[in-house]
Amino acid sequence: MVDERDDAALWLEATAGTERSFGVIFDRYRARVFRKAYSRLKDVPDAEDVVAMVFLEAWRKRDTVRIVDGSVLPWLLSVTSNVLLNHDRSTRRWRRLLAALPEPEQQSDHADEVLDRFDHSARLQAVYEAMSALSRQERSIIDLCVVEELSAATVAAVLDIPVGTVKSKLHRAREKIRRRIPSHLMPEGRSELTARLDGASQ
Amino acid sequence: MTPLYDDDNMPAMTDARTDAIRDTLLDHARTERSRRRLTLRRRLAIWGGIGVLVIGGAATAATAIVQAQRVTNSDIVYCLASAHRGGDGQFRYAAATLHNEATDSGAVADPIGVCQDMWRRGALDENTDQLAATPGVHAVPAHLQVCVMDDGSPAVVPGRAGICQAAGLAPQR
Repeated sequence: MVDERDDAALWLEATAGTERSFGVIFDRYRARVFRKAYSRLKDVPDAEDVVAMVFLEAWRKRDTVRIVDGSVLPWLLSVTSNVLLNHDRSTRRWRRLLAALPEPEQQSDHADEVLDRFDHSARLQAVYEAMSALSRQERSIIDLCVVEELSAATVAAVLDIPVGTVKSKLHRAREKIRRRIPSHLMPEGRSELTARLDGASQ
Repeated sequence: MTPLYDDDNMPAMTDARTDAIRDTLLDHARTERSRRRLTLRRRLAIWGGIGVLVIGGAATAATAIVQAQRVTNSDIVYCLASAHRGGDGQFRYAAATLHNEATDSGAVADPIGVCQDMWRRGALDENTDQLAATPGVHAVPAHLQVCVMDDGSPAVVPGRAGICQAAGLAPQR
């Protein structure tokens, strides 16, 4: 049976002592967090570990949760972004719990699929690499606004900064990213990536 | 709200590890509360212990910092009523000197002896009637120590060895 209560109610229950509600939130968003992690790591077991770390971190930081428009997802994506950024530190922190997880199953080789999606994947990796030159806050803003396509208002609420700051930093970060992405990975015509970097999706 | 990386061909989490992660999360959430309370109690105990050590260490350091000095000014002796300063930060004391005819100046060769006499005469007893014809006999502290004031003159303080440092004065070398 699907639990239809909103995130705020579930989070309140979870933090008040009903752990099962935390399980509902996990099931609601684990796939999204996994996809985000997989897009960076390209490895299923590693991405699964990140999912575990994200929810463990979310629980650790539960007092600072930000629920935007009734959803905890934007905040979870922000936590995911930070866990990926500080992957080694997070792995050290949760090493004991991660070690208790079952060994990964043998995965089918996704190489062919990766080859099929080579262009898209290469562009995405180029964006990630270009993001490494940004400040921590700019990186979060680009990740949430451009990669996740969240609105500036939502990102402002998650990061607890003014909307105007998000917009101005987003503008500057976009310029930096565009300059750092190799020209052969920036298609001439309109693509989803160029549209997002141009701000058309805002 | 479509993420840039979304792709229909992306693999999914494996069932076994998904279930294990969920179990781990719920177990962690259940046990973490009690662990946090225990950690808080331990932390308080540890910080309390550290506080005691810091205060003890600071007191020891302060004691060590006040180096022993020689009495270089024997013109006068300060007989302190106690090692504790008053509300104004000053010691309550009575000062005394003995006239040396040869040098025509003060000369206190035996500070403790002078101060014992001061105590006996009630100079340091708040209840002494200063207008009485005879001072009567007053108690003399069993232990008196010679400390050295900033100007090199002796100060006799009631108490055992170490009272000079406790009073913030240099002990006599």
